[in-house]
Amino acid sequence: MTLSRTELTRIAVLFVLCAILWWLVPHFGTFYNLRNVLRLGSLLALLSFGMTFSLLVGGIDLSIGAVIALSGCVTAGLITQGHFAEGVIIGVLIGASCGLLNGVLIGYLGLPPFVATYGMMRIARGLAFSYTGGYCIYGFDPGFRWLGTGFIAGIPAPIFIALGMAVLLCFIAYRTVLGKEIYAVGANRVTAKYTGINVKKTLLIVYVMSGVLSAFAGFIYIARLNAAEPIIGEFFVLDAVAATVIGGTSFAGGEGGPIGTVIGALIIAVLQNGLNLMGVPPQWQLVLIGSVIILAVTVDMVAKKVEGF
Amino acid sequence: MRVLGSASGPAVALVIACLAFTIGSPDFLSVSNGVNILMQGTVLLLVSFGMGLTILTGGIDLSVGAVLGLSGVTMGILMREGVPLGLAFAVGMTVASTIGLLNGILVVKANLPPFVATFGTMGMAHGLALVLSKEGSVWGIDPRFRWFVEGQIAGLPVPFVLAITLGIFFWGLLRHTAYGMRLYAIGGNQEAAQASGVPVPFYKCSVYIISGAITGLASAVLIARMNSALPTAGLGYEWDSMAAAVVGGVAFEGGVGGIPGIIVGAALIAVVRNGLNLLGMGMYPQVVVIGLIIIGAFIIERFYRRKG
Repeated sequence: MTLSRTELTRIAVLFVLCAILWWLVPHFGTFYNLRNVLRLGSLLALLSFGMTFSLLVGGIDLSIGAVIALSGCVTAGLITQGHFAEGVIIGVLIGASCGLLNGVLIGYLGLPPFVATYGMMRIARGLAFSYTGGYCIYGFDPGFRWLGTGFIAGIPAPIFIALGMAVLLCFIAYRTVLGKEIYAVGANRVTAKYTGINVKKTLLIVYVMSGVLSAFAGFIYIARLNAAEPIIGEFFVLDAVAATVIGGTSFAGGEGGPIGTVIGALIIAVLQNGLNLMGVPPQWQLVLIGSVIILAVTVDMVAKKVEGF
Repeated sequence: MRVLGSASGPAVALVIACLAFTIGSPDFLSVSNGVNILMQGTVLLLVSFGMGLTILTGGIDLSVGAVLGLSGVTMGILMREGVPLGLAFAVGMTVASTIGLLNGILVVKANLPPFVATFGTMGMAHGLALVLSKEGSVWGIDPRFRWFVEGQIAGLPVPFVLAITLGIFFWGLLRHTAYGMRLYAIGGNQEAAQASGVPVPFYKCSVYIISGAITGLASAVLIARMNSALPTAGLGYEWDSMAAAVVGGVAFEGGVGGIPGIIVGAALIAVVRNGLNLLGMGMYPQVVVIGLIIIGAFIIERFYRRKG
């Protein structure tokens, strides 16, 4: 497996960005800060993998943040009552069922993806608030918290988890029949259908994957916070879209993949960390991320037009 | 019924919902509650007009909720700082229209899918609203500004007059002007419209500006009603207005639907929200129920269209 030109450009952007920040804020280059950046990047990558696959099939999953809140709150509730295994299993099942519903609405009933998943976002968020009554659930046992805060040989555990997930998803994307089907459906749905691919089933699987991956990312996130509340992940969708799109996965579908998303997540993490170090308030970061998405997509569109000539 | 056309289905649903809530709650059918629904419904209706127009041309405007917050906060802060009412209102409207213009440019010039462009501007507008308001309520709305909800024109409440006037205006615009006809043509078949000489980019861009501007007007009504401006006040309106438009018969494929349907759709959403409140349902379960109703409406619309 070799890196594509898009991915190489993105890596170059990442290094240039790091160099600029290092020059502007010397503190950026310290071991502790770089470790923080990598941990933030790992969380972002985990959040964005589901989004990557939904964009690859030419859709979008706007519900990831709300699904993280819902499955996170329910898991947190069960874990704090001492039901560890049940908590994790039910959390994953919640993610899977949200994804299943999205998949049915999109694949089988033909709703536009942004409509179906937007509805799911509202429903999951409402359920999360109903479940917790708006309160925060906190205080998990150290075993669970290790997922977010632990270290292996001085390196944060989330980094290893994100790397493991990236390898698994790359395998699925580039080496399995399902992966080929996902790219085919994203590139041209009609052609895919006539080649004998079950398009509806592929869409369903992708949205279920997105739901399960969100639930999983949610575990790491709440373990790191040592708390879960229904408002978590309000802006995860923006972050995930930004990381995915900057990583070279196109809104048109069929292009990009998990490797690009890892690079994109690192770029966003470096950007956020740098802005924090320079004392830029988080609200401005929201404005910036919105602009970065639009910029990245626009550059993509222009580049395609230029290549087309 | 003939006037309502494709909106007759939702109109029946509206009547049934009203009947059910009248039976379920003794407070539903009263003058004060009617006024209440009108106040809440006007903001939604205005936003839905803009949303409806963008969907009609085959687009979507996801930024309306964030713009509602941003222009409200802008007007609120200017009034608090003692800027004259008219100027504060004008600046808020300009901010809202500018975001609309930005949406239009991104869709037409950068060729972005509308939901991506407006999703990006949604994040930007929401962030800006939070920055400007320092993440809190903006108090000190000029008492005279409350004219938008408490005032009367010819003995009728201002929100009612606004809703009716704009309803008639947009209906006339869509049905009786070349501009409206061309919007339908673009929604129906963009390439055909382009080939027959319609300047498609101009028309598509104009729709997003209208959507921004009318959302700005809605924000004036909203902050007058709440007597404060909250940066998050508008979040969720993008969903409700989308629902109002689609429930009212505007199709995502573009080129189908109209103002009477949007009015019925917005009324239905406003009545259901109000009725669930009266029945004592909590805010969060309500979000779930309304989400399910809306998804249900989308599914019904799909089946209806497939058969048609």
